[in-house]
Amino acid sequence: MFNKISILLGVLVIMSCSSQTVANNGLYELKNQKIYFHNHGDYNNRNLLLVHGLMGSSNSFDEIVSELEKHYYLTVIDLPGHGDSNLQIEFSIEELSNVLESFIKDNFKGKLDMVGYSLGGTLTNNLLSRNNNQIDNVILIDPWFSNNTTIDAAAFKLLGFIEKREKNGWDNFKDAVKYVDNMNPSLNDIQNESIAKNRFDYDIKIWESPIQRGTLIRKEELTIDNNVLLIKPESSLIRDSQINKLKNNFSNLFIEEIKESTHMIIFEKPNEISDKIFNFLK
Amino acid sequence: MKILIPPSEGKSKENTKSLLFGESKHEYSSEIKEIVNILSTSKNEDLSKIYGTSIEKSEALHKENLELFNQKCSFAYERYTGVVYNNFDFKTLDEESKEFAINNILITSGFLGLVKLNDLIPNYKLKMNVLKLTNFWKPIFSKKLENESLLIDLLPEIHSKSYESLNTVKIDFKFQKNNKFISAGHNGKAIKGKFLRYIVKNKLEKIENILEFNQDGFKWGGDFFLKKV
Repeated sequence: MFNKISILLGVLVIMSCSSQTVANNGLYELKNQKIYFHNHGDYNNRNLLLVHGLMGSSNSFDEIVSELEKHYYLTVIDLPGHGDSNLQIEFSIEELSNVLESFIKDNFKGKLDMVGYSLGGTLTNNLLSRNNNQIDNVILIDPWFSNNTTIDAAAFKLLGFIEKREKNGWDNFKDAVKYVDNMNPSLNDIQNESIAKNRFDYDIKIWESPIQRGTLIRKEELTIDNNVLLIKPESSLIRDSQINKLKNNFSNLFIEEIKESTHMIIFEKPNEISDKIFNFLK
Repeated sequence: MKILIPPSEGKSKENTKSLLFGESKHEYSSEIKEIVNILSTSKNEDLSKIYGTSIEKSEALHKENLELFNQKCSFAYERYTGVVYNNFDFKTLDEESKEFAINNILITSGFLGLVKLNDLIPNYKLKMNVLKLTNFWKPIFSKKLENESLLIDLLPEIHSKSYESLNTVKIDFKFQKNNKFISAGHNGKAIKGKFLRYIVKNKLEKIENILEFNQDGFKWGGDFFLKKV
């Protein structure tokens, strides 16, 4: 009896201390395309939408969310074919951007800031190119760009060959964990299990898609004046020539490098990334 | 224990075996077929970037690569003729040392995967730094090396990106001049070959013994082998 009262009191105390802090799940539907998303933080705070990378999901941001939810109202989505979201559209930069634009229009009143990691960065860049007027400040974390040569296309096909073969060879989730452990031995078990879950869940059809062809940075007719922070790891996907293109496109581009990090930066340096996002948006 | 070394740019064009590469049952045939398949889709204007040379030479190299499985072979220790391999001088080792070398040395080729010294391989040219081959091989190499308790990494940076392991000791050779550390360059390659020969001749498998190497003025300095100049 005493225990039950204690628990009830505890719940009431927590509720009174965090009256507007929420962590809930949502579903957005655009025709047959389902987009699952999660909200974290106080909904009176500034809106921040986070978009993950290829073979990731909303849980890619778990460690960053735990820091940023103190300051922002976060919306973290599963892109089509990833996490819990199905894949009913063509998996291309333009189609994914269309879904994201509808999601933003239907779920946010007024302005929001955006964080895009890897493919999420590519998509965020594309929304800025489309002059989406709801997006305010933007953080691109090691975005995935290519120069659209046959060499880039070949590299993507080779990666797809290996990833498909490995994924097709997994009998169960443990096989995915073993694969991810081998690939990221310096990450901890929780991080690797989270990555493995994403690798196990994503729709393998993405490798047959035209997604790579849309990763070219277009030259903008007029410069874009949103504040853009590019966070790049020391060992980055993004090339100097691509950074120069971004400099030409964005009049307010800020670049920060995080030492001793790779493309897995959101797992390797979540605290530093959270700090950089917080300081940038401050 | 495995020692990882890169292939050499310099390769013998001579084939000492009449066996075709396609008949050699190479461990990574399916992966190589995929690379050849992808290479075959490359446009002529991209060949110079892939091979890093003039378009004429690139076209010739490309043609040879596409015919890789129909090429005759040599042992890897015969095929690779660069400075490291010359100073390692496999052929002059005694039989026991040769066996140790074959069992413990792996060559990280961007085209052929992990190659043993006695593997039969054709002549080819494809560097690890094109087509993001490091990403292609990383899951395969990492899996192959997962149970090794010690990896001695003598690789250049780009090749080191082709695998992941926590059990790696990276070995480099540098000159110390006026309190500055300078890459040993060509001399670094020569000493790497001698270092390999030292490990193999003494059949060393423990890192503390390996780091006792002391030749041509190079001594272990805590992070790399150093020579004061």
